[in-house]
Amino acid sequence: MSVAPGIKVENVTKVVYSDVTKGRQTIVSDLSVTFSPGKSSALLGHNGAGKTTTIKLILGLVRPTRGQVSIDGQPVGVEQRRMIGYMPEVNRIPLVLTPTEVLEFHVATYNPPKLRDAKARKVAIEEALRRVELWEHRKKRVGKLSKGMARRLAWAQATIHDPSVLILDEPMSGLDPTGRLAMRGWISDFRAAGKTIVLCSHELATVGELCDDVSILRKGSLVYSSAHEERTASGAYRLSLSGLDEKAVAALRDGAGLKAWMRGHQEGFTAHLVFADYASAAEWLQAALQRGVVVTDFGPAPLIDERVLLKFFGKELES
Amino acid sequence: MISVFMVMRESFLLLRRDKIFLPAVAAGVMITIFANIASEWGIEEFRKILFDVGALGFHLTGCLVAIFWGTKTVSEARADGSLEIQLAAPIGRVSWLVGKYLGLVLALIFFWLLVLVFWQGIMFANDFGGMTQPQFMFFVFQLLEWSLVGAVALFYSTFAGVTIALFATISTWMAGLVSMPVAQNLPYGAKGWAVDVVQGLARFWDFRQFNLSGFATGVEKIGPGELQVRGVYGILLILIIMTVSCIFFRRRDVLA
Repeated sequence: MSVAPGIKVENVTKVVYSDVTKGRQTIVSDLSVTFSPGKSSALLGHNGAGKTTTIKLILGLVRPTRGQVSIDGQPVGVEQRRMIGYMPEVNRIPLVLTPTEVLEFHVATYNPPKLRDAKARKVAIEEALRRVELWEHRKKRVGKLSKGMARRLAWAQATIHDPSVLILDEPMSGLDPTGRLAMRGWISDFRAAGKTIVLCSHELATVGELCDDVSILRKGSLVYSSAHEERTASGAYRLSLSGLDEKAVAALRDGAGLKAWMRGHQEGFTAHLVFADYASAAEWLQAALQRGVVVTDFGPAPLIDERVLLKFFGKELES
Repeated sequence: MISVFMVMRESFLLLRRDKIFLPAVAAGVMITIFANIASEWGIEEFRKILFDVGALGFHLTGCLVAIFWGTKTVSEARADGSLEIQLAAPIGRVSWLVGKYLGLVLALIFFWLLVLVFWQGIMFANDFGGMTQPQFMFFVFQLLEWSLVGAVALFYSTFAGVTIALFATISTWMAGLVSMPVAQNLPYGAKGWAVDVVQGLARFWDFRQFNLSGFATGVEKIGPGELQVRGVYGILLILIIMTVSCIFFRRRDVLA
């Protein structure tokens, strides 16, 4: 498996002139974030945090006022965009074209080496349309397709040229439960194939299931990055203990000689703890059960939970 | 080159399926029929009436279609977001804009051919025979003007929204139609520098150069050299406008 390219956003600031009343606005401020090669990374933030602008900076649709964006070590240009598959939040497909035409134009524009032959191109388009269950609708105009169908077409468009970097902006939006399940499967396949994925989503379950790293933006700046943590997100475990206050939890730790938790917070008399690995969490679980402590939750830790998000979003989420 | 060709093909297809395509063809056909009726009502100079009335309709319909399509190609693509997905593909901005313009010109040629065939049919029906060379040149210059107006619409669309681009293009087009009559009718008391400015502008931006209706009906004599100069003038204007458009568009951010 070849290594997929990584994306580096270095000290990027984007200032735009909105209008006469608002004047100049800083949308992204001194942002530095790295999307590791072959990893699936989530980009989270409240509405207006600068997620879409960051994506547009990566795609070269927006030029940074200061700083640099690079893909595979090179500044974003035509050749770098060739590696990317992009699925925007809202369907951006001309309504008067048919799914076949959309994919034909798309493949011809990207012109990937594997699909330079007309026959191979035709086969790839048929396969892509069958995969997203649109083969029966291939001659319908996009305007006549349902929102979910158009979304699946957007996926086919983003991936037909087999990109090594996939940028997804709210990929689940507009999909019914079956569509969501299918979309999760398709993204998982890309993740398993070692592609670099950048995913913007407000759905934490989706992020937890599909992403290795999380970056949180607030007012155009990076406020949290799980890549900075000394752990791999997939190895972390959570444990919730009922009937214990902070002092009791500390006493349990000291009494049983347990390792410290990585992250934790108290909700009344329930302690929610996150450990760096399964072994540490299991030791705690065993010690708690031996002492008759009620365990209300034990399992793999979500990549990020709502409490963490609330902490970083602050007032923006409340408003 | 492949990407320019692909954008051109897509742009042509989008415009050919555009809502205003069939109404515009119908309008072109109706105006020709109306010109024919007006010609038959005339006591003499049937051919001149057919060309004078028909040419006006042909000119207006074509220019308006070029303005709408030119605006739609970029401004609406920005408004509906299709611009975003296309520019996220490995296409240079200049290639994209040139491809879009070529697609627009191709769609205008298609529209032009449809109306032209109908026009020739009307001429045959009136026993005017096949189109003469001056008459054909009249239509070629009309197409050149449509293409120029389309380029102007594209230019405004690179930095303005749909409404502003439409308004600005229509104003610029009208300015081209009236510039020379205004320059030629300045009052005697006008200051020297004002006369120079107005006449300079009129020489640069004169859409009457593309009106060959007098030449088509034999009223006006235009030599081959003069025709070439007018043709080169139109093409140069298109090149200048497209170059400026590309410069603007290259630096522009694609925000929502």
